[in-house]
Amino acid sequence: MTRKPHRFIPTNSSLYLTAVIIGALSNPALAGAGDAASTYGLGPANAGSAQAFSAFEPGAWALYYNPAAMARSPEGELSVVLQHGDQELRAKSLGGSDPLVRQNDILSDTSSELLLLGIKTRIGGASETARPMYLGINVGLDEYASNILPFQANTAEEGQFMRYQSQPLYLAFGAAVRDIVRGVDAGFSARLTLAAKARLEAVSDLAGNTDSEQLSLEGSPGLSPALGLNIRMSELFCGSSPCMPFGLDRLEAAVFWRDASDYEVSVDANVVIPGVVPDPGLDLALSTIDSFQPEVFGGSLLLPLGKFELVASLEQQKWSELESKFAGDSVRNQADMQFVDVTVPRLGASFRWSDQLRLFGGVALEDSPLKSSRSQDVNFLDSDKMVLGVGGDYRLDSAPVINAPVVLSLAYQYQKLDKRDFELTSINSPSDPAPYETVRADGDIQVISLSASVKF
Amino acid sequence: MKTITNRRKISAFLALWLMLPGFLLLSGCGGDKGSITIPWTTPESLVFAYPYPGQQEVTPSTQMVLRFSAPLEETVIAEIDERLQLVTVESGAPVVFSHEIVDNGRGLLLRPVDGLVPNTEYQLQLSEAGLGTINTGAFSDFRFRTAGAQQGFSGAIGNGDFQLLAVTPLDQSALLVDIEDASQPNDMSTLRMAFNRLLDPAGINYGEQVRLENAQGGLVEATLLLQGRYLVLDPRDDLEPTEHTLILSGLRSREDEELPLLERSFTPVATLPRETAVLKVGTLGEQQPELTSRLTGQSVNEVPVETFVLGNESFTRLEGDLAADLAFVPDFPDAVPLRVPAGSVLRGSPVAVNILGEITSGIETGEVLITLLSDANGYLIANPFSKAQDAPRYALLNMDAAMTAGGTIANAALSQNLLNIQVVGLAIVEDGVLVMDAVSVVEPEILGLERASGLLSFRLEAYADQRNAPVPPTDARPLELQSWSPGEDFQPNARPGDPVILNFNKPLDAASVFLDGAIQIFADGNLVARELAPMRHDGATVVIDGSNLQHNTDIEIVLTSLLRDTQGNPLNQDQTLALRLDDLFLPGGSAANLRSPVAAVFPGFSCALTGAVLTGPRSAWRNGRCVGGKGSDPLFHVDSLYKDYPVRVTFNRSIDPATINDATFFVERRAPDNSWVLEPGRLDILPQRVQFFPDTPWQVGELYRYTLRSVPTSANCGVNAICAPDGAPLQTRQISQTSASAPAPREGGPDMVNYFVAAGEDERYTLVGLRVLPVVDVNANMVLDAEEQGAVVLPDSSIDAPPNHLRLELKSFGGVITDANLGCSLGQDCPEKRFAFLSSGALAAGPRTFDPDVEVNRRLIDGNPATDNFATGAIRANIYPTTISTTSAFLEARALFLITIGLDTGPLVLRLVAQGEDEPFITGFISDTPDGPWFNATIDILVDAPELEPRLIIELGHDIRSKRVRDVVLEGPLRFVDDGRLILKVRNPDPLLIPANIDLFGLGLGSVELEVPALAADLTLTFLPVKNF
Repeated sequence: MTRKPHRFIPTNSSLYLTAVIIGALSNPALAGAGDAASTYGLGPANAGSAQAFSAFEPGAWALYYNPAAMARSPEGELSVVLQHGDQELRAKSLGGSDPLVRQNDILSDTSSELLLLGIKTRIGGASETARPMYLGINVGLDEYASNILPFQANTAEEGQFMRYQSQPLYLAFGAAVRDIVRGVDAGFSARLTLAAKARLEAVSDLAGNTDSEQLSLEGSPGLSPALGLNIRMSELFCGSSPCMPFGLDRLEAAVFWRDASDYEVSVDANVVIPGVVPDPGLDLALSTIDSFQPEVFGGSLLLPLGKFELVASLEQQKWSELESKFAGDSVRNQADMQFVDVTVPRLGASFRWSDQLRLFGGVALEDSPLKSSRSQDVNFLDSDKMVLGVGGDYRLDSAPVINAPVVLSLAYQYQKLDKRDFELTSINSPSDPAPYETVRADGDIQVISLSASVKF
Repeated sequence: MKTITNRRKISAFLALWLMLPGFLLLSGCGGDKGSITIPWTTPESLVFAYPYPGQQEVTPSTQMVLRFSAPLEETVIAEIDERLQLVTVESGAPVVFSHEIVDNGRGLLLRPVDGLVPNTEYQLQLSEAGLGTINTGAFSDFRFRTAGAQQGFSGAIGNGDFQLLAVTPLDQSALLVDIEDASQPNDMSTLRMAFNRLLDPAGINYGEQVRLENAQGGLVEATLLLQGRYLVLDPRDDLEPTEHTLILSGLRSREDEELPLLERSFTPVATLPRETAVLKVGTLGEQQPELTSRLTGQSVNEVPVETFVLGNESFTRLEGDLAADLAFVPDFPDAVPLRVPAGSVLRGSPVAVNILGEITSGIETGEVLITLLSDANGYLIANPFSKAQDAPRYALLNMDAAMTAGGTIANAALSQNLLNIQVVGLAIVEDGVLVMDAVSVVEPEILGLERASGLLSFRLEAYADQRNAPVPPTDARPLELQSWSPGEDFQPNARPGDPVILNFNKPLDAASVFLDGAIQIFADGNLVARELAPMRHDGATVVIDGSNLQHNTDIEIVLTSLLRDTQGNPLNQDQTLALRLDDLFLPGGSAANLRSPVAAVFPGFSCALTGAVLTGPRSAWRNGRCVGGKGSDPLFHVDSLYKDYPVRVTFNRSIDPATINDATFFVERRAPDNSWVLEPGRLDILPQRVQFFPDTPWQVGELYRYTLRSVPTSANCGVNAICAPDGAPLQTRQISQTSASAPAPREGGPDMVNYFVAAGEDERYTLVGLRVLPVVDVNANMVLDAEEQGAVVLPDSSIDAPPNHLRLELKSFGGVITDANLGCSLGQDCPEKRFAFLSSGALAAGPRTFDPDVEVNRRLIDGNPATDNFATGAIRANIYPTTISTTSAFLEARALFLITIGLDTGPLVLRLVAQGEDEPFITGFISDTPDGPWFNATIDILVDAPELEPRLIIELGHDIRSKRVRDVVLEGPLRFVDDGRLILKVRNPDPLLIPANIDLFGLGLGSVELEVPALAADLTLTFLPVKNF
């Protein structure tokens, strides 16, 4: 079996997968806020539980959700995730003074293709008495790595969904320490963000022939921190012998916080046009953000019951900050959008079928943070949604070739976007500043997440 | 077993792991994104209009230029006359226009057939049928207002109290008024003021009546330009961005109204750093002489000079480079201020100056230069009619220019300021080149006779490589005096009231003209105060008011190098011009011994009239015949006065302006009930000329009359008579039927009443005023006084006679007269005394139409009446009948071999009339010769010698009363002189016979036949000055 690995990858499927990958490359990305980690969840365990288990999953992806969770398992892992999201985002025209001609309701039929690599390893606590320490690194690339820094900030006359866009380069690292206090693990991580600045100076004639050009481009990395605590109630309160009432000895709690983040691009161009614009020239300054993720503060409870594990989580997402971000955004400042903080509840359960197989599922209800139903030119659409996920892990204790335990995971997530009406406006419309069309937004998103993790 | 199970599980899971996504993806691919198209097309619309909605001060001779973003449909074009109406806002009266399709239907040119009326608001309306696909939004309230006239009818000049209508850019035009970037003047601004009255140039000086003060109250250095209703204040340097105040105090109109004190404060906006764009007037690269304007369809950069008198074929083609200063564009996103600095020059090709477009005038204009007198200011704004991103920008520019010509005569005739020219255009970058198409209308005055209309179709292209663009050349010629009027040679052709006109070779800096010491005038060595000889600046010309110019005075005009051109170059040399009008001799040393003044008038005839017929058809109407003449005298026709012209009266010597007023000179219109209604109007009074303009234009087809009041004796000057300063009333009756009833020299006469009908385009002509000048009888007493130099015998025995004479010969005598000698006693030879000299008079003429078939014989082209010179095709000109008087001739006769009697003819009164009774006027012909135009006319002359009193012991009678001399041919050259005036000099190719009979109580006693031999009559007529103060 180990010598014939190709059996397990049927030729047709391989072709199909290749086709999907290639076909997806040309899909336009949508723009705005959020990214794969917060919108879908990274990897099968997070996607398949609607992120209900995110605070407790001990794998490499805990860096994003709750770095302390890495300490929950002593196993190191090297994990690869392929995650495909198929988004059918719809905007049904309800008419208006100058509606667009829409062949059907589908506004976006794009997909996101995420390739993630994560590693987690235990670096400390060689002796049993010392506190074990874990390090993790995550790398995520969208469009199966064909575009490591997609960035979009558009106005859109047809309307555009605020989330479900391509994921720029995701890079995070962090560490967790077990039992920083008895029964309490702590973790810290940082995500890399980029602020890119481009500057162009040139002298041009009216035909666009330039000379004396000076072009510079710099990308300044930024780090967005996340903190988490994982608390085993029984250990914290009872020590080595269980003391919790109602059989809650295995109850775990997690609290986590991650800071807001975004990717910023500013373009500063200056052109001198002899005969028209003398020195100091015509300045073209654009500053905009993409992939905004709100500050999140949340807590989660995990209760193992026999072969089951139940999880409940509540997180607050501080979207209101985006208001001021967009106020300073050249592309969106005219839209005067309003955002509200939202609280997202998540529930999940898992069932350990056998030592090898675990099945899990989850549900989350997310209210839309976008308060405005009209955003001049930008025409953001967003609505409340329900997220459902199911999935499973299968552990091969000794995988072929590598002779090490491998966990294969598979999850499916479905997001149902509620119907919500928006008024579209555009400076280019005949009716400007009045809306030219009212659309009813909704959508269905299906995500398949696959991962293979080598444990060590 | 476990392994097998395990493997099965593994296989199953792996299969699921790999296959499930595929199924899900398939199911997920249920709906593909449909195409979304944006149906918004920017509606096709108007993209250009001249005049634009809300435009003020639109030149009345404008055409309407419209351009659309898409071609008009065929059906729309076919019905354009029904779909578009141009109406006056006040009455809704439609304007008849013809239309022209431009650029394959994308443009439309509407030409009002009769031109628009000045000072009138118009509206362009669209019928409900619309313009097809073109959005009609721009036509919802498309109004504009024509500029008030710069002369003429006061109602056409402006209405209401004397006021400032607008100061641009403090009061921005309709397209700019809502644009924040254009809400304040900028540091490059020139202030252009428009009033509702003609301003009196004598009372407007910068620093006094007009001030621009800076924040500290200091006077900002500036140039003031004035023309008609326009006043332009051009600060010499860029304005500081601090508060400035424009103060107008004591500004006076030509009608002597005073403007209430007016102060306007503003803070100019800084436009730095600025950039200079060099634009080529024309196209870059290869010359494209056939290129037509996208806006008008007419040749680009040609300024047509369309006038009645020159026809519609004259034009000048402009070329040159202009350097435009642009404000820092990023600071003015909505309206970019721009400036073309004063002194910028465009060069134009020579203009063909042909009378009625047909007869070569003999003027060579040379290069025509258009020089900016002030900084031209404007803005570039987004297209006001279209939001389409490809809609060109609008360019608005106001400028003040001087037009000058290279040729001396042409410069004197054409040089002028053209203020407040509004240029409106489209600007867009095409293939990396900024291209501007613009239009404007200018109305230059031609030869002092008419305003031409010129629709300019500009095309400018910015040099692609602005860093290596050519530097626009400046006019580096030194400033020099080119000619002046009356000039050294033509001082006898001038009279008090005529302006002194100084013509320079290039435009002057207006400010330098008014500097103390730049132009000084001395009368008999004494400096003349500025207010007695006020000046105005007009292009390359300075016009000095001649109202106080007197005979018998040595005038010196001193020009110094303080005079500068627009680049600051001084006059090349100081100059003193000597001027002395003909000496006027006072008989007996007293003005009280002068004769009563005589008036020549148009329309009408220059005598008090009787026997008017104003009933029946218009063709049967008659103005009457002269009081004192015979009952059989022809009744003059009722003249048609073309609607633009004033009533014009010319006196043969100076009158007292104070005696001309509403009581002594008034005009009435016949009301439907046949009563006469006073026509309010304005009298423009000069010492020897008066014009009457009604407040509202003459109404075509209406009958009017005007009255010059006089009484025979005991005149109450200014109350019942127009008088000379010496109290002599206007002589309105010059002839009589008996010697006894002949008017005394200082006798007035009845009121002079003339009827006329206002005429429209079908009877159009160009009114030309000619005076019989120069004359030797300067004091107009109809006597060649000893102090007046008549003909002289030259050493070679030839005789040199001054112009305007009749050389008489005694042809025959009979009856009781047995011997006779003309000019001196019997037996003496005095050829130099056989002259009658014409006293100053005037006539009005009107070139009317070119007749290609008429044949004229110019027998005197070679000076020899015996040779013929036929030409086919000539201009028909109306010559209106008038009276010319002469000095007396002396005749000594011997009756019955015994009695010697001296006969003084007294003044001869010559009435120049048409040959036939049915002719309303004399028709003259102007034809082409290699040396210039030639004039021919055949007239009848009615000769009267009212004061001839033959006496043979007792008084005898004579028949020189309404003596008709028939078919008098007069012909001669029409020539321009250096100062731009025309002089017509005609002579007679055939001898004229004046038979005279002497009788006693009707019984024939004797006869004398006088002859004016061929070429012995000289009639020299000088046109009125081309410019008035």
